[in-house]
Amino acid sequence: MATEWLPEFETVVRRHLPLLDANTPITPDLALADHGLNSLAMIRLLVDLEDGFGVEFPDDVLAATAFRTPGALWTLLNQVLAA
Amino acid sequence: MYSKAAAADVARELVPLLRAHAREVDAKAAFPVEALRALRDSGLMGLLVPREHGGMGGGVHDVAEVGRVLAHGCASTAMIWAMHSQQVDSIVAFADARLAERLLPRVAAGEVFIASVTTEPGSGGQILRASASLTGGTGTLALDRKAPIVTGGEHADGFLITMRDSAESSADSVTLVYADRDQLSLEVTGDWDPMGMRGTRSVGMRVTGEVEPDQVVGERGGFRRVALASMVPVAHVAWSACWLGAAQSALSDVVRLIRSAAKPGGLDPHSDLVTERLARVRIDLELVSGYLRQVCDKVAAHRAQGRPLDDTATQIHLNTLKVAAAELTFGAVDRLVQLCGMATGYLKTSELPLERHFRDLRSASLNIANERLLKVTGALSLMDRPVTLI
Repeated sequence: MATEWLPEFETVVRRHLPLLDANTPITPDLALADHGLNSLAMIRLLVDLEDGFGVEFPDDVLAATAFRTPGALWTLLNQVLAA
Repeated sequence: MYSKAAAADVARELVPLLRAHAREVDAKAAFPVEALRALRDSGLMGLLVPREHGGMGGGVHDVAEVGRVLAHGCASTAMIWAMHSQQVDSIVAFADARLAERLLPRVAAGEVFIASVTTEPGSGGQILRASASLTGGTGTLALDRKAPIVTGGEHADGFLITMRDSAESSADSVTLVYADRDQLSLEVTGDWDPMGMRGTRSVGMRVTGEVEPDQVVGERGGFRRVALASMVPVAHVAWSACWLGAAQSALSDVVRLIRSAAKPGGLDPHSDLVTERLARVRIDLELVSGYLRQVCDKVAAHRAQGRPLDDTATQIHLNTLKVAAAELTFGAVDRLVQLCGMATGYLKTSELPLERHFRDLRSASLNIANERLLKVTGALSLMDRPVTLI
């Protein structure tokens, strides 16, 4: 992971994890799918990240492993921001 | 290899028998026992079982063709067969070799009709989440769950059952297990008196029992992969084919009536209104037939190359097939009811079973609710900026 993630990132991610207890911290290696991030929620999360950070992800991003953990997703977001 | 024509021919031979029982099956909301017996004897219960296990070795095109043909006789029977076939496909693709060795020859011989237990009370047709969990760790696995809808559950010889992998795992961690009927204790919990597809006997059940570890189909917690690669694609193809077959049979009956000396006065073949209405019905069925074939081609090509079916465009295409087939086939029969009028189109006592087709096909948009698929398809469409059409 490049740097500590921004609080806005964590806020957006948490919003899409209905099975995650509000008091449980989001760690970089948290298994997103185990906390309610199904394929539909992935798309909503993606759209919210695009809105929140003013970026556009490529269409094939859903097939990537980036959605498995917050750490991978933050790395991907930074790659897209840098592009 | 068992030829496509041969499997469809076997199905065609069964149509008169299915048709002979269709009215009674519908009237009594009774399971089509005679029709299923004939299907068991025909070899078609093993259409998708590979030849090395004694089956017909058919593929997705065969499922579509046989489902369409069977629905000419009885839509309920065709749907029972379609659902059995989607279970068989999942077992062929994902079962442990020991389970496949024990089970598939019995399926091919017509001894095992498999029902599915994939929804739970309050799940709203969502099959990728489960509440009731397996217990028992690495040895024998115990299950105890409620199932609001088990098509043919009272008559099935085997069951494919989804369970949460364990009490500790998340609701998304769903494990598929196979159980023989004699491994289970089954209690029918609800009555069955629906509008249509009455012969499917999709009763509520409580299912308890124990299975061996090799009866897990796919990976532990890996039902999503089974669903995306096998159960959902085959279901959408097979159901759409059944609905198409029922609507095709309805149109065929109406065309024959219009061409006969016995036609009612309103069905004048020289009437522009009659021909325009016939054209609309025909066009809708052509569209479903063409799209069904395209999806079959795509599924078969993906499978031949060992590619998964979970890419965005393919998911959209599979959902489109189901939603479009449900809407267009029901709409077609609705138009035929209107065209034929009160006596021929609407009455239960009509020579033509249009009102039965109408009731049967009304279920199509509810059997996995179209709204759920539209929500997913719309979201997936956002992920396909170039719009990759089939």
